[in-house]
Amino acid sequence: MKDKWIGFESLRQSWVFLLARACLALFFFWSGYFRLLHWDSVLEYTESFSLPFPGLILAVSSGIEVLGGLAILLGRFTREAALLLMIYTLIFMLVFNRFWTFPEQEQFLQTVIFMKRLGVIGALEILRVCGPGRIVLKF
Amino acid sequence: MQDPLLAPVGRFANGGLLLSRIIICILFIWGGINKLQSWEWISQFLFEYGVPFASTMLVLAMMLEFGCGLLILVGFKTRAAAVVLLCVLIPATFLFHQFWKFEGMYAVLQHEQFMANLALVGGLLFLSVAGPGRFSVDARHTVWLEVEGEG
Repeated sequence: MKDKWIGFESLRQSWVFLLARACLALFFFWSGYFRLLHWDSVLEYTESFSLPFPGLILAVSSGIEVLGGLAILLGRFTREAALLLMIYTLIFMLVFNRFWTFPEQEQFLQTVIFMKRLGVIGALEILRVCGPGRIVLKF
Repeated sequence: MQDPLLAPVGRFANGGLLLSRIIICILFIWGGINKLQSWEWISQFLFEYGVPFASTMLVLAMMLEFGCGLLILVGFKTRAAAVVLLCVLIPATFLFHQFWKFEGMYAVLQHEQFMANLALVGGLLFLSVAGPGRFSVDARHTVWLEVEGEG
């Protein structure tokens, strides 16, 4: 299937895209890895949000992040992964980062995190639209 | 001037770029305004860290962040604005979120902020290459042709 990519005529631009993809992927890798590493304390934190099946939610979210990051980094199924990660981040923000529900003390920090996740969604949108560039893993 | 070689293809490419510009700009415009409110503790932090001309740097960073956010939103000199924002964001990240220096919960928080900033750096890099797309001031003189076929 012919991939609809923005006409990258210069390889240098594809290298910049590779670097940018690595930055995004690193963020998601670290996020998923951290959750898996400190499972217990993160599970405790998740339970304080009174959701059903916190363990399952945690496992699924880590999986989405690691797999999505991998797809972005390798440049394979990038647009679908970007769309998935966008929806995931939006849901995540609206469940865990509702800064208006936090007490005064932590509200600033939560607002900052909320805004930064918004920026991540914007970055993923560009990736979804433009595609991964020309430097991708071919198999 | 929009580079014709980088004209976005695909049905929703231009709209997608507009949407992503709007979303990213919310962050930077809010950030710029917010520095005004958090002035005291940021100045204090910079002063303690020994940054010369702390107040001037803070004003500059705030104006650059807010101004480039607006530029990207409108789509005027988008690539340059993205690069300028990168030059503001990267030093700020290494200055304010030094997670390797701390322990425990605070280190985790800073690490999270650092990585989130890294993702934003990636987004700005994307923007600096891809440009603003059709719905922008930059592209107002570009002739957009209908492409037959898969389009």
